Amino acid sequence: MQTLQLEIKQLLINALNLEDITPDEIDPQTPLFGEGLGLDSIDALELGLALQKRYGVSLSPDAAETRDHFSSIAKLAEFVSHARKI
Amino acid sequence: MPDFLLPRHLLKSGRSATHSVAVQNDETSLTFADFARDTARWQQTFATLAGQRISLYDEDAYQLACMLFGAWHAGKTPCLPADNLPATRAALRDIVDAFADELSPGATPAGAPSFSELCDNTARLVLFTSGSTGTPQAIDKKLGQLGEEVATLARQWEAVLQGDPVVVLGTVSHQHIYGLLFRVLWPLSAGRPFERLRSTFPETLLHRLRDTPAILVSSPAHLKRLPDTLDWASASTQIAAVFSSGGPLDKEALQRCKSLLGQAPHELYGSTETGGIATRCRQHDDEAPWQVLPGLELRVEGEQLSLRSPHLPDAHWHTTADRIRLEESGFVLLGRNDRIVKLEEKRISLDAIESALMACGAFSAVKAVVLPGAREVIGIAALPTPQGWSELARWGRREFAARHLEALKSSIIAEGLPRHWRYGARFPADAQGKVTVARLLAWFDPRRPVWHQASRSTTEAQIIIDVDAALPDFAGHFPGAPLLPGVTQLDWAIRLGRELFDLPEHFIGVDNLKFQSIISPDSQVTLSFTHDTDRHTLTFAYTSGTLQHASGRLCFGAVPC
Repeated sequence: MQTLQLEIKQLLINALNLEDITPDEIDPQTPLFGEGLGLDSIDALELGLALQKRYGVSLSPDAAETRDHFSSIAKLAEFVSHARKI
Repeated sequence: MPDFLLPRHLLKSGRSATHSVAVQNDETSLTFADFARDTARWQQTFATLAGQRISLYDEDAYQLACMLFGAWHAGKTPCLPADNLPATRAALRDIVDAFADELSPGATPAGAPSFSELCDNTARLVLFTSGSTGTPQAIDKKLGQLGEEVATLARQWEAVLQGDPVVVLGTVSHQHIYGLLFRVLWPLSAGRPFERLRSTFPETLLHRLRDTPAILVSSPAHLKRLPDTLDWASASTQIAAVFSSGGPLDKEALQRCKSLLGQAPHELYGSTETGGIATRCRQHDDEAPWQVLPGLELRVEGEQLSLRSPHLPDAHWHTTADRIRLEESGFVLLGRNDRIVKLEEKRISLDAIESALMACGAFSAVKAVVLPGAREVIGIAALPTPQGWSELARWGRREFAARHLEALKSSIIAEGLPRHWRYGARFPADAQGKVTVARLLAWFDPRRPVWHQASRSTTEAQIIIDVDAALPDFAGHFPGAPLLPGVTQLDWAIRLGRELFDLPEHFIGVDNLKFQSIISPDSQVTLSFTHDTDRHTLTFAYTSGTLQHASGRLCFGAVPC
C-alpha cells in the first residue's frame, strides 16, 4: 500500500504541476482539498482524469462517495487498490 | 395555486399545485405547492427582521429559490455572495443585516399561502463580482431586469427546446448570475424542473443523463474536462441542449463537447454587471462570430464595447471593460483592458492578490501574472525585503510560500491561489524601463535557477543558488556523469549580475575566466559579485565553503563590441 501511496503522490505532483514539494512531504492523511494541500474543484477533475488514465479506475456517480475517496492520499490509495484495472 | 408567488412576467399563466419544480436524483420531486409553502416559511422568518439586506448562500438550488422569493415577498433585499469564504462573510457583515443560514424557516402555514404581487422596481437583488480595485463589487439588480433576462432566454431558445419535458442539470453554481438565471429562474418560469445540487463530477452527471432527458448548464472548465473514458453515447441522445458560459470555450473543449455530448453548446457572453450580451453555437463553423441577443444594441469605440440593453438598470449606453472587433455577421471578442483575469471562469483580481501579499510585509514589490499552459494558473514574481530573504533562507521555499498562501486563503478563492513563486532582486524591464508580462514570464523559465540573496549593496552581492538536478542544462551533459556546463555558469553570472546591478546595455566580454572544480547536480553554490561602477566590470566567483568552482570578470559597455 505504501508503494501505491508513493506512486499516487508522484502522480498528484505531476498531474497538478505542484512546486517545491516532494512525495515524502505529503502526509498520506492530510486533506487534499480546502485546508491541507489547498487544492480546488478543478484539481479534483484533473486528478480524476489522471487516475483514470493511469489505473483505469472509474469513479462512482455518487458525488459524496467520490469526495470521500479524494479526501486524502491514504483514501485514494485504498480506492485505487480496489478499483484499479491496470 | 397562488397567482403572485412568481412575478407576472415569470409566470404568465397559472400553474398546478402538483407541477414539479425541483428534483434530486430519482427522489420524489418537490412540487409547486411545496415551493409556495417553503417560500412562505422563509417569508415569515425574514418579515420579522428589522434590517433590509439578507445574505443568502445555499448549495441547494431549491432552498436558495425559496429563500430568494421568501425575501422578496417579505419586502427585503436578498444578497447572493459568490462564495462562503470567511473573508467574504466578514466583508458582508458591513453591508447585510442578516445571514439566512443563521436563521431557520418559520412554521408551515395552515392552508395554501397567498402572496401579494412583487414590484419590478422595488424588489431588488444584490450580486457580487470582483471589481478592478480588488474588493468585491456589489451589483444591484431590479427584479424587472431579471425578468427581462428570462424573457430574452425564452425568446432565443424556447423554440429550440420545443417544449420537451426535460430536467435542468448544471455543473455551475447558482450563486452567480449565469447559474441563477439558467438553473433556477428560467426553469421556474418555463415550468421545467431543476436539479437541486450541481453535478461537479462528470460521473454524477453521466449517471443522471442516463435516467432523464435534460438541459445541461455548464461551463468551459467542466466541458473541457469531460473524460472520454466514460461512455457518453447513451447519454448524449438525452441532451436537449448544452449551455456554456463564464469564459471562452477553446476549440479543443468545443470538439470534446461535440464528440462526447453530440452537439456544440450554446455559448453565452455576458457579465454580472451587464447581464447576457451575445450568443453563438459553433455546430458547423468553429469560427462562428458572436451574435448579439435580441433587444440589445452595441457600439464600438476604438475596440471598447458599449451597449444598451433591457438587462441593464437604465436605457443609457454602458461602457464595458471588454474589447471586441465587429465583423460582417457578428463580432469577435478580443479580451479585457483591466487587471481582472478569468481562470476556470472565476474572476480573479491580480490587484487583490498583489495587495494581500504586500500586506504580509516580506516583499518590497509583487507582480501576479497568469502563466500559460493546459491549465492557466497564477504565478508570483516578488522582490523580498532583506527580512523576506532571510525568512526564505530560514524556512525554505515551500514553507515560505505556504505561509503566504495562508494569508491569501481568507480572501482569494482556490482557483486564484498562486501555484508558482519566483523571487528576485529587480523585475526584468524592457528597453523603455517598463516591466512587461512577457519579461516577467522569463522568471518562470525552467532555465532560471532558484536562488536567494544573502547580502547585497550597490557594489557587492552574494547569492545562494540551488543547482537543481532537474535543470535542463544537465540534459546530456554528460550521460552518467552530470555536471553544470561552464557556459551555464557564465550565463547565470551575466543574467543574475544584470538583475542585481545597474549595468550598461551590452555584454562585451569576459576576462580571467577560470573553471577550477566541477559543480554537481543537487548542490548549493554561492555566487559572489563585486561591481566596479567606474569600469563597468563585474567580478564573479562560484564557491562552496572554501572550494572555488569558477571565477571571472564580466565587462559591459554602452556600445556592442
